[in-house]
Amino acid sequence: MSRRRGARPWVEAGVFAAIAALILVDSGGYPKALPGGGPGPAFFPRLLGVMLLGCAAALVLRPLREAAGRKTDPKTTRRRTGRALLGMLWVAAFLAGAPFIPRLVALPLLVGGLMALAGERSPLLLAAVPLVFTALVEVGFVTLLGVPLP
Amino acid sequence: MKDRTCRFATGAGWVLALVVVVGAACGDRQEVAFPGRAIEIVSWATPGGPSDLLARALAAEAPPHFDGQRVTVSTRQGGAGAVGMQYLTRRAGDPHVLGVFTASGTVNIATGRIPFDPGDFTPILRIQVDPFLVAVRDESPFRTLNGLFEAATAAPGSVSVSGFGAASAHSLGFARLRGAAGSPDIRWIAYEGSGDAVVAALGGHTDAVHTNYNIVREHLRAGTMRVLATALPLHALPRTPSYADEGFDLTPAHWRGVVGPPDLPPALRDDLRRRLLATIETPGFREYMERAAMEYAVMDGPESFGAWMAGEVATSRELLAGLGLVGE
Amino acid sequence: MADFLSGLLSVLTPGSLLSILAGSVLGVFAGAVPGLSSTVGLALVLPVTFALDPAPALLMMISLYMAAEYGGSITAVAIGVPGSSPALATTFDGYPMTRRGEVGRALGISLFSSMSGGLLGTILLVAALAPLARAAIAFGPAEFFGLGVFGLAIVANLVGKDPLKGIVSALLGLTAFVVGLDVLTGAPRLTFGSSLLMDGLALVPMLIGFFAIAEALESIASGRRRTRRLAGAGSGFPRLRELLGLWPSILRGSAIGGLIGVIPGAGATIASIVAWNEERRVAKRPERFGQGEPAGIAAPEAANNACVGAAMIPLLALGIPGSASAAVLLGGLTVQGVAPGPLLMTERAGLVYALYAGFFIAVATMFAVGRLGIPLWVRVVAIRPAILMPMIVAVSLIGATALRGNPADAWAALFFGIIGFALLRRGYPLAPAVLGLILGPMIETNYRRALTLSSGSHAVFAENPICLILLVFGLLSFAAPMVRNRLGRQRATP
Repeated sequence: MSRRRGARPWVEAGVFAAIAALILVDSGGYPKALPGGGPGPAFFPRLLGVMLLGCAAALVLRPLREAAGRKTDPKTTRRRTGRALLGMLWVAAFLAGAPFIPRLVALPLLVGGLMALAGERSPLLLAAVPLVFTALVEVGFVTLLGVPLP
Repeated sequence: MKDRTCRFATGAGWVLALVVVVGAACGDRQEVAFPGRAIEIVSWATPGGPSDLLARALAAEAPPHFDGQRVTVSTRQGGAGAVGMQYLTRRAGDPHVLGVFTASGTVNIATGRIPFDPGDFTPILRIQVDPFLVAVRDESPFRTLNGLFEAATAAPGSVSVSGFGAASAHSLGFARLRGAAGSPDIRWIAYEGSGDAVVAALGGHTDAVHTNYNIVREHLRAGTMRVLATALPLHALPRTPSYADEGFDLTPAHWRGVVGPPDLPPALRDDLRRRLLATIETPGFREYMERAAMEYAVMDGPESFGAWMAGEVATSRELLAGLGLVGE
Repeated sequence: MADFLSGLLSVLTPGSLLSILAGSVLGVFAGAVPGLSSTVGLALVLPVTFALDPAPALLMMISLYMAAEYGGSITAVAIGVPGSSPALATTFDGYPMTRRGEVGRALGISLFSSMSGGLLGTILLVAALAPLARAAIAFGPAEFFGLGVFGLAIVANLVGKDPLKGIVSALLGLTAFVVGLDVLTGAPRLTFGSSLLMDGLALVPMLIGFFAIAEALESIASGRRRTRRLAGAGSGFPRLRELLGLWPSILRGSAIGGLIGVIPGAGATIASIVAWNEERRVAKRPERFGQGEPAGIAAPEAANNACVGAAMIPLLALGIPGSASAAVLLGGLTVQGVAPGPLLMTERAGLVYALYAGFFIAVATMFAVGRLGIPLWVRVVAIRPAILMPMIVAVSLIGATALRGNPADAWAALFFGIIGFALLRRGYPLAPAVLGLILGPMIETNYRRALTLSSGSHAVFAENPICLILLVFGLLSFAAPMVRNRLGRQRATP
């Protein structure tokens, strides 16, 4: 029974309501309407905001059904979500560092780090795959195709 | 496994080679001689579009006039041009990075969309204008520009004109024309691109299109569209009246030129200007101008191009304020 | 016919054939790498074509365009990440088939359907250039609005078990579209003063975020180290009989792709999703769609390749690019001194016929290049997710930056990756959000445009037959699954 109560999606409904509120507040500052009678730039965002608010309310108010898509054991889910968070931070660090760190250093670190987070343990692969990958990217993208990289 | 080792060795080789190249490139920066390395022309416009083609035509013709150095085009779109402009402003004093600046740039500056000013760049050379015109589809009842305005005055809101964007160089060009005609109630129907705006007029969804000559050239030749008037007299359309012939004393035009990063020493700026002037006189570049249906409009005085750009920003800002479109 | 043969002869030179081969190989590559697309591929070869004669230059570009539409399906099928946006619909049934261990079969169906769609689109181009160009310009704001609503109604078939969550996902996608400058007034919306958001959120970062980054985060979070099943009965190329048996789906998909591809601004992504939906609608057992149904691969792949030929129609006949890729092609044509428009057919007939002939050879080359690549992709699928996904993420981020040269796009991809991961975890489908981002501009901008032209009267939508039909069908297709669902539940629990 306690699982059922936990299934009420307060958090996501709150997030959606917050997005809706953001839209409604921001759209207050748009120019009013097009000259000539057409709806203005605020019309559509406001419609979206109201619908999103409605959906957020419906999410928490509707009768609970059998909880869908929660087959994983909550204990392991929690521990590994932390890992996924680390993954996000790792990618963010790569993007933040990209303008300052040479690509040839940053790219292998990105790939290797994500591999380690994904549970790859072989030291040989952890070293070789990122380096080979970086070399291939350098040759394929930069030298042959001339893709402009930051 | 052997394959993998082999690939790894190749990879390591590449890495080493690149480190050497990068090191060499960094070393170059201390040298005073220009051009000391490849020239990069930054374009913040859509690939394949008119600004991009100008950049590429320059890149194709420039090398002999830049001591044989490679000239590359890099596309840096985003933020209504802010991404490319920022890239350029960060290269202060470096004559190896140039940017293609257009009327859209000054309009976007005037709207406050991008946090730059013409003074943030070193103006080098205005190269071309891409003249505006008003065209209708062949079946249209309108024969003259004044006829279009009269119809709009007689029945306010009944006449629509499609064109690229709102608070854009195109919409402001038309706003100036409309203002000169006594501001009749004409609906400006903005489209995402000039081609879409032409389709709207061709399909009869709007009464006319305000666009550039090169976009409708083939339709004019084929007779599927008619031009009512052009902003400037065009040598390709000798019998078409200009706005002045129709009684409107203005010449709005889309223009494109080259700017450098900020803080270029005058000597380098003049050197660049001479090299670019030689580039745009080559037969290959002339051929591009002809094919793309652009008009030469060279403005190369040391100060004139910059002062003129500042004037464009001021004019655009006034127009935007008049239309109620200016952002703070 | 004689013109066509002389066109064919002019294409059968070593230079032209080499251009087609190079274009095809690059196209498959650009299509398959998430983040790169036919548009980026074309922009990359644009400077190369300057040095070539008009015919080889154009042939290289069209063969790249064509091959990229197939290339996108490779990653879509093999790892569930659409290599380019028109392959989105291919993930629906292609990836489940791969997870069953039938990657070779799925890729074979995709390749064969791409080839057939490409051929049929080319035939459409050759046979009906002028009339279809006239039909394309008849599409005005009201018609576009109708098409947008019709497309968005497909959300009803993408929502999964919980319609409310699907609708929320679509609303979030529509919200993402609002970010940027309003086309009609130039007013910045939801940009919060940042000039980086002025140009809006692009589709490619969303696809990369939702399908590559979110999936990589998911594989980190689940910690699975298992390899996907490989040695299934379908790991090889499918038999000819199976492929030929898919002809009704291929024909329907090509027809939809041809029709939608002609309309400037509609595009292959919409066409392939509509084709998938239509296939599901006519199927005897629609519940199998999304589980690895061959027709669910054949129809969208035929549609997006048929779009290539169809997109050439407004480009060649009117000089109007109907897609971002066609815009780059137009640039290439301009540089070559070829001005597409109503007179092209009379003034440059030789080049046009060479182009037609080149299209057929490009389709054949795409098939050969694709066929040779399949064993390689089958091996790629065998790589452990822990090794494969990090590389996919890295390549996608590079691709996202290459798209417009805008580093903000890579950040947007990460942003969408985090959102996608969170939504997936809470059981929200992601496809409706993508549909919302694609169709939002078509719906909103054209709704307002139509009302500006009609001085605010909604009668324009009812008086316009095409718009009315599309709106009614859209409403029906939105309501039908929900009604069926409700009826089914009532029957199940009397």
